[in-house]
Amino acid sequence: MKKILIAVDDTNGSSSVLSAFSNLLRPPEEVILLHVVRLEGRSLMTDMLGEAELSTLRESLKGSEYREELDRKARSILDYYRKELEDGGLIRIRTIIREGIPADEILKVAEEEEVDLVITGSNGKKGLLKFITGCVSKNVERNAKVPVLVGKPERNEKAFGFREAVAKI
Amino acid sequence: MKKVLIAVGGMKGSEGILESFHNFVSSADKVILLHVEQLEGNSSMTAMLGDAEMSTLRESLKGTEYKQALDRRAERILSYYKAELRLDHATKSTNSMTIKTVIKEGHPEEEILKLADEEGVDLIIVGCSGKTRLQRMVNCCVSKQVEKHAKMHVLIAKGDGCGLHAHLWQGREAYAI
Repeated sequence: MKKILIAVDDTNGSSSVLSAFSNLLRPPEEVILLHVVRLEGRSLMTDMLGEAELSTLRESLKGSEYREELDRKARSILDYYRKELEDGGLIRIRTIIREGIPADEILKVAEEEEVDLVITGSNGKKGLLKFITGCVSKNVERNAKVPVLVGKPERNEKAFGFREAVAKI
Repeated sequence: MKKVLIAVGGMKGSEGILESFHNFVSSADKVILLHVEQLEGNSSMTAMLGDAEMSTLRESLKGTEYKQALDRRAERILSYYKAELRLDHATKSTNSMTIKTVIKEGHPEEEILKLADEEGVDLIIVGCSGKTRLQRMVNCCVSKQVEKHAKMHVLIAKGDGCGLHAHLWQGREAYAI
């Protein structure tokens, strides 16, 4: 039973997962598409957010416009990737939306669902920026119990029309 | 023409590679099996070894018993992996892809990235060193360096030793260790 978890967001780095998937991998039995909503936005202080802070944040955002906007965005990201995968002939696709710290949620879902492989994109940050803001793919790769495939943007072989999709979001 | 570069070290850390390859990678046309001999052994001082030092080391080791032992080990490792790649234990089938074996010496991550570029591969498969966070800070982790600098997709395969230290991250409070 080959289950693959694909973690996507709205950055450019994510689109490489499609190329990695279609060009290199054997079709799995099930794909789980995961998007982690960043409640704290692009804050650098993510390390300070423990469970308590996150649940407070979650509570205070409930029902707000900001939250609806985030949800809408999450759904369109997942719809985009789901469509791309379905166009490629994949049938069993499940989408999951989580919130919180991306690397942690990805690892949690990977364990809960007992996936066999995790695919993430690479945000392509280098040097100091990467060190400060952190790197999701690095954290996932380091702590996952299953193999991790990190997709790289420069080797996209097909044009996915990603910009059009982003404009619609 | 799908080309895959598979970098194998000693047995530890490389175990997951075969499993990952057979389970996930669809038929590759060409596989390049690379083993990088570590001339400096398990020294932590690898960052200090520039090109000059490496070539001096290489020169002085030529023809020595130590080098011969390294070469023999490299051959053994590569033949093992070549045979295992050919045969898929699960389906008991052999494949007909081209497997090229390469032995290099020097810094593993550098040689892996160099060869990947030269050959224009589509995917690099590396094992996970299974080191703990502290060991990684001191010794540097090959898979992390490769993933960071590679221009092509990288699959980090997991052996038994990996993800064991994952329990450290559960709950942000524990992260502060």
